[in-house]
Amino acid sequence: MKRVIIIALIIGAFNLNGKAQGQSDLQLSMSYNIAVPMGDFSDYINLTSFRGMNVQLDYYISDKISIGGSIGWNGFYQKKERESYSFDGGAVNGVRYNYLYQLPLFLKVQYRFMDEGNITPYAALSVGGIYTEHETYLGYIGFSDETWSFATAPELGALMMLGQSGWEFKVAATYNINFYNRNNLNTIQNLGIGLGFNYDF
Amino acid sequence: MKNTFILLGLLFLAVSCNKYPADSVTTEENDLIGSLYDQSANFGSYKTFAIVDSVIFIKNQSGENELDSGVSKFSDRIISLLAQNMIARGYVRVPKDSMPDLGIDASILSGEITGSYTYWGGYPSYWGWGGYSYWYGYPQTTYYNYEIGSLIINMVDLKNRNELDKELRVLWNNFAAGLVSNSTSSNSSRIDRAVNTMFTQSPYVKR
Repeated sequence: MKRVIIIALIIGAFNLNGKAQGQSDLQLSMSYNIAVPMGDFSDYINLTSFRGMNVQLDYYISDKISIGGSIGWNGFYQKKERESYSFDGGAVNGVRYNYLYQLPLFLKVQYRFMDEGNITPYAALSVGGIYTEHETYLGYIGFSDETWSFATAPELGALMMLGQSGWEFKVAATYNINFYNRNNLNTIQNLGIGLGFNYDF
Repeated sequence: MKNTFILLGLLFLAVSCNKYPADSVTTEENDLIGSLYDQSANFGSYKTFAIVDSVIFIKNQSGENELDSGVSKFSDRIISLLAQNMIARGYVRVPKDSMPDLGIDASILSGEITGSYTYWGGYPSYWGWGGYSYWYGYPQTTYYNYEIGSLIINMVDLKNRNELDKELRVLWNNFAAGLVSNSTSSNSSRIDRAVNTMFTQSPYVKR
């Protein structure tokens, strides 16, 4: 009897999920990320970051929907030429070195618009926290600050199957919003472009 | 397949790991030039000024006076730059004993800043950062020792002296601070820039 129930549950689960046979539940994804500063953040650094990466683990609860987690990293840097900065009662002149490093730790829901075909567009939403390391130097003096803040990141992308190998090529555009609100920076926004691979286990 | 994936992962890590882009920072790029002023002062109400005869050198506590020769070398240069800028702003230079409205002094001081910083090389916050060598043992502490030279320029009010306290009111205070360099030619251009910047970032100093 027990066995029947278990089998029924398994069959039920498969029916409910409508999962194609042979498709794996778990998928690991890794991508190289470029990040373009957006919004107010571009006043602080307006140079694109070419130093970034992202690792993501997804669990498919149906053919189209997966939930998962991701961890990433991006490094921004800009040197600003010698300039005078005025304040109430004076001014200071120096070369500025602005640094910002972000380490996002996200929970993610992803939806594939199609469950067959070689190329599948998808949309995803990540919510979580970003660990931010913020460093600024004016000449030889500077400050640094590290903190966690709430963040979210909507994402659009496409996945391309590479034969039956279990590998997929991935292109993603992510809009990262880090609710930082410290040290004269409001939300830290950037547009991320990711290129990477998925692998089915 | 899994090996390929790990290989890809290492490739991505390599892309992400370098901390700061190779960026050669010269000594003079570290220079800071600051200007502060008394917001209640009316700089247009003064006409004449005098400057001290030579720049005062303030030795550091350890008694070293490496800057001494440098100071005498730059003294005339600093004073003439101050005079040129003041005249360009509409003030009239007079000798010290001719009852000037404003007095300007300049001094140089040097000192060392010594300190240390410690960073943690472990997981998770720094794995993407550089300077990462945990198999040598961590955290790592780095000690630094800089020699800082500063040029300080004050403008005092000689017109409205406080006879009671025998105090002079400082209307304008400037500093230029940076790492001390041994190069005379580089130092003279740094001094020129410092004095000129004090004026350009203080447009209120004018008649």
